[in-house]
Amino acid sequence: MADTVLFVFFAVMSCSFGIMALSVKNPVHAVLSLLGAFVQVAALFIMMNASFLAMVLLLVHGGGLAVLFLFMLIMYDFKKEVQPLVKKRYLSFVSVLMVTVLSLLFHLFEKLDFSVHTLPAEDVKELGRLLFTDYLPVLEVMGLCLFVAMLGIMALVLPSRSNPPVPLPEQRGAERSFKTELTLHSNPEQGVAP
Amino acid sequence: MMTYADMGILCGAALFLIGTSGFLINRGHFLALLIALEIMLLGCAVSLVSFALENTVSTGHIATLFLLAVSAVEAAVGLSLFLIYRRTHGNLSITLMRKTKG
Repeated sequence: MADTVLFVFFAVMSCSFGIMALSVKNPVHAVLSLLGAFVQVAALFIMMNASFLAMVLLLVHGGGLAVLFLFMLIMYDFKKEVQPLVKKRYLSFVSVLMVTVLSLLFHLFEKLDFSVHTLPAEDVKELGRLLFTDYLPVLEVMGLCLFVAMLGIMALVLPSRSNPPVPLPEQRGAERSFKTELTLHSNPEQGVAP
Repeated sequence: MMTYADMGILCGAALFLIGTSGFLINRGHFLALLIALEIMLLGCAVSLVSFALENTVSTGHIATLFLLAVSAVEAAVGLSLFLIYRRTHGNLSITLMRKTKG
């Protein structure tokens, strides 16, 4: 019984973190809520006999992805562009829709009666054996996918002759004032104070 | 009596719905689209693990592993597009994205 309560707690917490990630105003808070959702889902995975996947989720998504998002936010100053991620007037409509769909699903699952199953052996050894025997072609395609994504990202982001870096508005302003200063200094007549 | 698998499927469906609705009604920031996509894929992963628990096979776990890899790739490519858009347009507002509207 205590296990069930804990499971429901993690499930509800993950859903609420998901809602929070899409409804808060500040992008940094949204990313932190996403991180919270990752952690809660990892706890769910552990309770569902998938501890290896929970670790992968925490390391790759919690440790890598959320921090990538945060770095992106730190690199750019988002203070001027902060606005609500989702308009408030849609929220009531969406919440009614979600409650309806979820209650339908709940009814469906109450009708069915599943017997309790547990996985015979959820261990890393079995997972690794499957991954390197039956699913080897898929694994290689996955590696290729990661490699192509890496190349694509580098081709997109690296500045080239056809894609020169455009300075941001504030930098443009700074450049202009620097240039006017230079011209002032090069023309002694203009530089003389009245 | 609902088992873990049933509750997991419900939780996955709820997460997917949250992500989908966030994606569809999003009128603010480009970053929110990426976050909504992440939440949708998280819901898919929860559902897959629940199905694996239900049917006592490890295939669901392997599929989840690949799903997590794909979601990481998607987020990285999305963030690089985010950089490019910011570099060329100077802002990231969804409402100002009218270049491909026709």
